[in-house]
Amino acid sequence: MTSKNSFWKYSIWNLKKRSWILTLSSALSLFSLPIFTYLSVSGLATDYWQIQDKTADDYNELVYAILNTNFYSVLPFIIAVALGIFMAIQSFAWINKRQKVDMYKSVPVKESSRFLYIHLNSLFIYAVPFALCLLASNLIVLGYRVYNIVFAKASFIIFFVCVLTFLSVYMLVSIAQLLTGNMILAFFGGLFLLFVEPACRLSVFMFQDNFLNTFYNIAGTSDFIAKNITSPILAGLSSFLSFRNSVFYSEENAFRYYRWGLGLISANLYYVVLLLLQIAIYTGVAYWLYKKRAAQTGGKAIVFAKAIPILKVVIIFTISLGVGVLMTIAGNYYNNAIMYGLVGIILATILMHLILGGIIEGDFNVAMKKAVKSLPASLLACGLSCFIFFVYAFDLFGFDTYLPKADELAGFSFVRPDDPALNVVWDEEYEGEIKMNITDEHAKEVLLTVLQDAMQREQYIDTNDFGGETLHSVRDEFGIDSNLVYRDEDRCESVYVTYYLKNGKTKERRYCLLPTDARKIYASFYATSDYKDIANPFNKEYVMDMIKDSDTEKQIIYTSYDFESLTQSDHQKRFSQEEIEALAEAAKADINDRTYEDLITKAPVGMIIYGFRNPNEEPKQWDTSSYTYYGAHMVVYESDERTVSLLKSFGLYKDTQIPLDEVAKINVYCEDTVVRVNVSDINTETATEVIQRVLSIEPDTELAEKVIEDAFPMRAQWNAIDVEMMSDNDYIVEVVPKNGETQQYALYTIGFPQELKEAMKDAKENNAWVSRDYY
Amino acid sequence: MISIKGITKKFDDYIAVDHIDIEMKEGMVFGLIGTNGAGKSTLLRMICGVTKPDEGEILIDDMPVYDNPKAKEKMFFISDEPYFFPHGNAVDMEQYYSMVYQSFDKSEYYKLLEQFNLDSKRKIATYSKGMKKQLAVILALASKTEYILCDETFDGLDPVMRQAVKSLLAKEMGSRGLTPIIASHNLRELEDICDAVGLLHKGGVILSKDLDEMKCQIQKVQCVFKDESAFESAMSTLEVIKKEQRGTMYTLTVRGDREEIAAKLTGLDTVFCEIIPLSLEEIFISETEVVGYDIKKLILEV
Repeated sequence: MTSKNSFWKYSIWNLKKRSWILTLSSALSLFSLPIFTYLSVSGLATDYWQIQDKTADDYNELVYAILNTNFYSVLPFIIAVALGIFMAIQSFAWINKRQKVDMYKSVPVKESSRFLYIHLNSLFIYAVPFALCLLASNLIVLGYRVYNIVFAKASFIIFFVCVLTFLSVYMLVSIAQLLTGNMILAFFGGLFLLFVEPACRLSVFMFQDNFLNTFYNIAGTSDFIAKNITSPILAGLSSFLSFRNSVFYSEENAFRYYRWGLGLISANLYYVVLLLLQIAIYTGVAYWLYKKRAAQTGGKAIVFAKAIPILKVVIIFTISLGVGVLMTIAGNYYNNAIMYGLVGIILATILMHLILGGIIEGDFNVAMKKAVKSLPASLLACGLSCFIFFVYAFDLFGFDTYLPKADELAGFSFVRPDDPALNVVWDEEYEGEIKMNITDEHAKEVLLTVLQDAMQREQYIDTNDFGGETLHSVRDEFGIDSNLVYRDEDRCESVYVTYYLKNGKTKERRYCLLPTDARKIYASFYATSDYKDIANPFNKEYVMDMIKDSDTEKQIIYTSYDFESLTQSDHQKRFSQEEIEALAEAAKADINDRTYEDLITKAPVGMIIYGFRNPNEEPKQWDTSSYTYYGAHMVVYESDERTVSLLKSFGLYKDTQIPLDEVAKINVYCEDTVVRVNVSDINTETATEVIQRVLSIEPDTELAEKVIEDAFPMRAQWNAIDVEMMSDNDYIVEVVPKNGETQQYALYTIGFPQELKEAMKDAKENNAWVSRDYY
Repeated sequence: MISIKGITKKFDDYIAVDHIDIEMKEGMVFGLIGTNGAGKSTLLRMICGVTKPDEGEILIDDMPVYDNPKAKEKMFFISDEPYFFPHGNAVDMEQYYSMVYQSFDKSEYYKLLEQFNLDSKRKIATYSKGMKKQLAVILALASKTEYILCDETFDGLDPVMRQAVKSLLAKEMGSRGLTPIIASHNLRELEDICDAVGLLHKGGVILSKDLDEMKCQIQKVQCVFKDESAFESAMSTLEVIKKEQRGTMYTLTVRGDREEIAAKLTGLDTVFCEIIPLSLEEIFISETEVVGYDIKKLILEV
């Protein structure tokens, strides 16, 4: 082939020869899009047109549903991957047959031209039917008179992402096809190449998660895997989901903030660039292999002899890591994770060495004879796996004991699980992440000092194999009928720390600290503007904008705390716009002024729940569940002078002090453990029994006065800002009134009176508790 | 002309072709013969550009072959097992080859199909082995290339078809200067048509000469010597590459032309002496025996 005309003639001829694949591609595209679109849209559109008084919301819901089930369905993506794998195997299947190679390579066709037209045709076979089917889907929706330009934009996006994914998968599997000498090995080799990096990363992640006590990944496993470099499936899927999420996870974006496709692409540039790079590199490698590949190599397992040791190392390394992970997890149940993991790695190495040898030689007997000769590559892979394993099993690089130097640390974040003042706050209006970053020098110094001290005492990690209970989870168990009271101060408190270093890097650690240690750190930065800017929602411009926007419907509920009930009280009021703005301004100032001592020494008097109704929803009954867009629970302290003053002016503030002369008795519950040892002729059994004790306090004592003064009832405050980590110990104090039925209810004190602590300690030591069975 | 210089090809540790130098002049039939595993097919594949040599160069009319469509346009390779499109017929093959070979003559193609009684619409998968070989030859001839490389093409053809193919080749040679290069084990067949021959063994070239020249330079001498000393004298005078004895009759394979050998024999004490030309098969056996490929050795060892 010596002319351009010949190139196109040959391309067309090749396309005709592959017409059956074109048919297959067309059929798959047809089913995934226009047929599927017709089936779903016919129902959705019919329902829509039957609505008597259609609103903009109804239309938006329809558009959303069509986008979700059709244009952003994951089915086209799956087809792109499947066709990519299949066509890569098919395109070069001829290269393994001697007769075909003789024919194709003896005719006057430039190899580069052949390579080019085969791949161009593969792209054509995939992309053209897909594009036509996307167009057909658009026309179908148009036919139902419910068309929206957003469908065209979505079509562009999905086409773009799927074509890139197809090309990348196709080229990578082509590499496997060119490396191997038969289609079955090419198929499995392609799958291996597609998943090798994510598999290794996941194995390493599992080792980290299993062995490193302070390891955590803030983004989660899925995002961790999505940051892979080589696998087009995950790069493609991540880009698909990223584009999809850019539209869907903020519903307004689908309709108000949706930009043209190019804008969305630039917002997800990382994945686009990654896919393009993959395509370029894989194409280059595939072409190089195609040119280098000797003609008569069909039937060989691995065509390039020099590649065999490298492939062996990669394959055995990957599989031994994976088996090591599985065995490590199994070993956890027998408290022997390290030994199990190591055995897993070694066993996997031996097995894969023999299996690969058999595959490469084509004869297991020959492979056994050559087993020793081909050992170095397997030993290298095993060594690498073991090294990785040991790094994490024995924390060879000191991950758990890492602490930055003071002059290295630019800032840090310090959060507890489910803390509303999270490490990352998503600002939907500005579409960026707001990260906690405490830069105060004193706070940094306290952080490093406390952590260093905790490390020296070895009281910074969770030694409970199944995860230690935290005060937070204990609090979850509180409720009206809860009997749980006392928690030992030695329980650890889970905190997530992110170090922002001056060199631009970040390091994340999870510690389990004593509550006293955690509170020291918290106290050091609580009052700083870095923290207040994150924790105080009223410091955020867009929140105040929503509050001041009279068109945005809001609901404010104030709940005060009293002894009658722990459910929402009757203190609800519909606030006017002016009252809402005043409350928000007061809250903003009060929270900014609040000190740490305010939190740990004073009990809250109530809670204000701020909610903003989703403007796209019809007004519903007044309850917080209808507020899906934004919500904040703000506890109110006595020291919040401006807020308390406003509440009083609204007639909502209530003094919840309990009159002592109405109290018959005060009971303080605690949990205690008793170890019983049973010795018999056969063995010695040790049983740990949990029992509950009660300390009763007479009302006419100074202790009772102190308890009544400091104790306030409070229901569990999930998602309440400033309440986390504030408590000293959790107790249940039950107040038995003189008149009326005794009711048990959960309440705990903050800044528990020292006298009570001592009384409980004395009672325990003197065994003066009134005991009763726990269950 | 096809010029092969220092060609070497290895497959892993096995040397298939070892520093071969051959020249194949245009307008001549070149026969490529050799022992099993000598490297004939590998050499042919390198000549037509299927396989790339590890060392050396192959030039066709001063053009390198590998991945060079201009050079490949000059030749057509008929493999020992030609490939045809599955579910395809002769028409499909014509469409393909007429596309890749600019000089393809469609009318000639269909005319030849008719002459060979091959149905152009019938699926090639239903053809016999011989019919497939015929089709391959027809495609090669219709492509109107300057060189046709045949790898054991005549095997599988019946005697009539063999003659037909030979005459077609001869006709093409005469009309447009076609140069066939034929690899075969059928030395009797090659002897009839080849102008030059290359003899390969274990990847190397033992001989590469014009056939007539080759025949002139090796003779079979049958003689009876008067006595032992005459025999020894003969052995020292003549360049004997092989000797056999039956009773007093010696059969010697001797290098040299007829006149030269006759002159030497005149001076020897012989009772009987006759010089007989060797057939190509006999030359093949003798030359390969010299390099150790000895049938008697194989039988004794087995």
